[in-house]
Amino acid sequence: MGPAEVKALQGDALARIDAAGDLAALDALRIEWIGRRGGRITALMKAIPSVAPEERSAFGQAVNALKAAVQDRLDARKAALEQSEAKLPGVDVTMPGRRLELGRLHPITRATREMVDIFGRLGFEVVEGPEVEDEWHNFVGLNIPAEHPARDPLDNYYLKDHVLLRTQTSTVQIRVMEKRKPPVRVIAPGRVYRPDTVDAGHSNMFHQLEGLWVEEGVTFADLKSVLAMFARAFYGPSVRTRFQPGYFPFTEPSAEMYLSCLLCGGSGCAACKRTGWIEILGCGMVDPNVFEAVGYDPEKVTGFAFGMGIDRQAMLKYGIHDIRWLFENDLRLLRQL
Amino acid sequence: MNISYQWLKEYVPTDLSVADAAQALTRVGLNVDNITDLPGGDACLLVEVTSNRPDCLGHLGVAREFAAALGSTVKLPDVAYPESSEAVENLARVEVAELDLCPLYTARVIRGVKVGPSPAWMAQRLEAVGIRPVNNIVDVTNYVMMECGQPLHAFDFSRLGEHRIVVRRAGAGERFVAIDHSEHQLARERLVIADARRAVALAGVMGGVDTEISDATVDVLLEAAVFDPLNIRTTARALAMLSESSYRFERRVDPCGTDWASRRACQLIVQVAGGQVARGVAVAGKPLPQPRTLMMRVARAKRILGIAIPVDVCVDILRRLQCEVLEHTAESVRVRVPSWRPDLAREIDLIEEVARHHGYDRIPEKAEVRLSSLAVPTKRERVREIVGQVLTAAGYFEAVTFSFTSRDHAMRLRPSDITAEPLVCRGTPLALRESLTAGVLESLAVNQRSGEAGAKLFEIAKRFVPIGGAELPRENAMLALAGHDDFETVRGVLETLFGVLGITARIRFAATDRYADLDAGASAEVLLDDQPLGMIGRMTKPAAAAFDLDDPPLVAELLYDRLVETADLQPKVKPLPQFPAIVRDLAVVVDEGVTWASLSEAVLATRIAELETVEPVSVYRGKPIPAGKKSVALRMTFRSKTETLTREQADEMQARVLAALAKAVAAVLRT
Repeated sequence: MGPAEVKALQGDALARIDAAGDLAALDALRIEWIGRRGGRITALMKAIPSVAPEERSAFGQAVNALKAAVQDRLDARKAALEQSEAKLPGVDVTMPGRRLELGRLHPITRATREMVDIFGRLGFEVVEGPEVEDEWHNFVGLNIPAEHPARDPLDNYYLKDHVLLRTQTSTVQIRVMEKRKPPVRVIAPGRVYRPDTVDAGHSNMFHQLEGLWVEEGVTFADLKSVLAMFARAFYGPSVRTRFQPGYFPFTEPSAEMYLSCLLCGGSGCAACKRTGWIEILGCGMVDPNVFEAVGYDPEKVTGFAFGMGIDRQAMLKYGIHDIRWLFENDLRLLRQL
Repeated sequence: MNISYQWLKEYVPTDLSVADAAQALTRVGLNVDNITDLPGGDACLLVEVTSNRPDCLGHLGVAREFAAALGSTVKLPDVAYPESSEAVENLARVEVAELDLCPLYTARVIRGVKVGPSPAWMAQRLEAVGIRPVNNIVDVTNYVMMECGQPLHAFDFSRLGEHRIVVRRAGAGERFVAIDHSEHQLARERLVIADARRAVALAGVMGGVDTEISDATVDVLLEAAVFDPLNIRTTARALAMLSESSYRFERRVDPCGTDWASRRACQLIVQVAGGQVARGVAVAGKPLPQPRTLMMRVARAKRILGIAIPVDVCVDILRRLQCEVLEHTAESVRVRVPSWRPDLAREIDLIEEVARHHGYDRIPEKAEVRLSSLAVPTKRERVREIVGQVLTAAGYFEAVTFSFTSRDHAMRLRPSDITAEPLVCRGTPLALRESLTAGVLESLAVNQRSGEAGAKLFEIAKRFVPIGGAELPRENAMLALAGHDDFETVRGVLETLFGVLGITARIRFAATDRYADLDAGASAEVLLDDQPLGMIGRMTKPAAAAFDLDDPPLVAELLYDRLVETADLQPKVKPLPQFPAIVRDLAVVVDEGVTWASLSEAVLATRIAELETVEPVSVYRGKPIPAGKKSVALRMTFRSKTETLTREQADEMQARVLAALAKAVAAVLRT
């Protein structure tokens, strides 16, 4: 074989290398051509010493050139194949993703947490109290005497004589003040129970958040300031508040806080009975009788208390129209929250 | 309280529109819930009267607030009428046997009336406030009640035995037929108005049919009295006879206004039905209460309200509310309170009046909130947050379910050695649940019905464990979860939770048959440091069916307070290991009854210091393992704190483990 024939091999080798479809095929070609044992170019290399001396040099050069060309082309082809094989099959990016099936927190919990966060920043600490109460904490300590209409057995869930499910979280006020000395600044979220006829707006179990701040120098102006700040933080900065006289046995003066209607913004709609305002919570300055019941000196400390329905705030906030939905725990609803 | 605006304007003449009037009333606390237009240009205002303001259960009372709000005065009607020469004492006798239940009873007698329909103006007014006209005499009593809040009752005088009125308790089993023809056997605690022989009215609640005003009535005995609120309420509720009258007595009427109401009614009766009013009034009862005097310190008002209201403003407001100002200085005001305001009994009550009529909107709301201490989230709140995060990440939705349920459900899923009856809300079928899981299962059933059979739910709330005597029941906050995951998955969720909560105490799951509603082959007590933490298990089919669940769910319930106590929310990191570990897998064949707990305990009992962990890899049953045996693969990680372990050292430790397993549970190396 002369140098010309050797050179002629090159075209064939390079063409086949270029045609190799994958790394396995390319490897087979590598073995065929430059494999250490039995490779065609390897064989030519081994044959160099046996070529006639006058032709040896040219032959050797031709073989080496062939080997270098094949080796280069193998390397290049290998790099190209590796790159294309590393590429994963394409995806249909318009297909929906596989979502995690996470659970959700209940809207009551979410609303409560938001309230707790806001009041926490205002220095209110979370406390709890029992749901089954005695008449002292549910009524007497709260300045609700025996002849008060709220004491009607039909309006309360009595479990036995003098023991009932609490009708308001205000009970926690009494329990906290019995145990601590002022200053006291607490909120108490929790369940309360009243034998109301259940409908879209009423449930015989619902949730309240009670607040209490007792300290020297706390005034009605503090009450209004704190609750107006809360309202703007919870419902948005554009919301307006209005305080109007109300009555609760355990506060005096008592007030009801109204919010500019969240639906119509105050211009009047069906939700606010055309008044532009919705009642949101009850509040007032702690009645001196309550202070006396827990052994505080009403001449020394003053304070305010407030209570609001968490369920109602959650309904307003999340657009839930029927309170019963809150307690059915239907995933079709919970998933939307 | 329904208020006719035209009627109201008779006492407080004004040009205000109904809407403006409603706003004025609302601003001082008489919330107008609704306004209904009436024929003839009138409108009915539904005024919400709180229970401390019985004086506003009549048009005159609302008129007083209205006038005070407008800075105007109330025009009281004139109640003069001619009296006959006949003295009432010679006609009727009044006795009160129960002074505590009836502190005041007055009677007047009107003779020669002509019973018939009321004149149109009176009928219209009554209809405007939702009261059906009956006849002129009855209508007058209702009219006066709606005017001043004092309920009245008119008897047919001729039908009162011996013309006597006795206010007494009912005799045992005494019979009474009310105006609505309902028949009652009265209990001993009922207060009745009786004549010489029998009960003729249920005091303050309803009159009797025998003595009611009829077309044949000629002479009338007019009752104006005061009854004990609590007794009225109990009677009205017990006999389901709630009336406009009982509503007002329940909330207290003004004893000093009783006579005015009686005279006003006589005047109107003469006007609309003719007749002659006998001279004087027959009275029995306690002396009228003395008017109260109260003092209000201006400085005290400022300490409550946060603004200084000048004393002359205070004086003006109190005067407008018809408090008689006895004296005032720059520091204080002393007043005599009108008899119709039982709610004004203390200084704070006057402060409220001043604030109310001064206007709550004049109290600023720009106070700075001062902080004396930080309110950081309590450990309990932080644990709550973490539990929510872990469980929602595990696919559990939070539920809020009712604390009470049916008696059957209330007793479900409690340990079978507890047999006490659950607490029941009196007069209802509602029982307080003794296991939180019961509520969660009810919601699981809701979801099954709505096509969400795969729902996984959790709840954090209380269960109620009854204890004897007058004590309050024990309330335990619990964490319950339920869904159709398998045991290992739910156990894994709990273990993940314990891990995130940083609970390092020893937690054990011990097989149990203590729960009748759980499958004994797939349920466990969860123990924390060998103390009860809760339970986990698969429900039995019948128990699941009791909750309308097709497939038995896997449930778990833990004592939430113990989680809070043992959680460690302050993580501390350890330095990373300096030397590599050697991991060895070992498969051993053991009897079917050998638990993982006994296997792992045997491994740990070798007390090999370098043994970092031992965990199960897989369990295999079937060929070539003989029946009644299983092959358990376990993985051990060995690591030394001081050197790199050699293969030989690991071989030696593995051999010790194998020997220990052979001895403890007769384990044979699987080859």
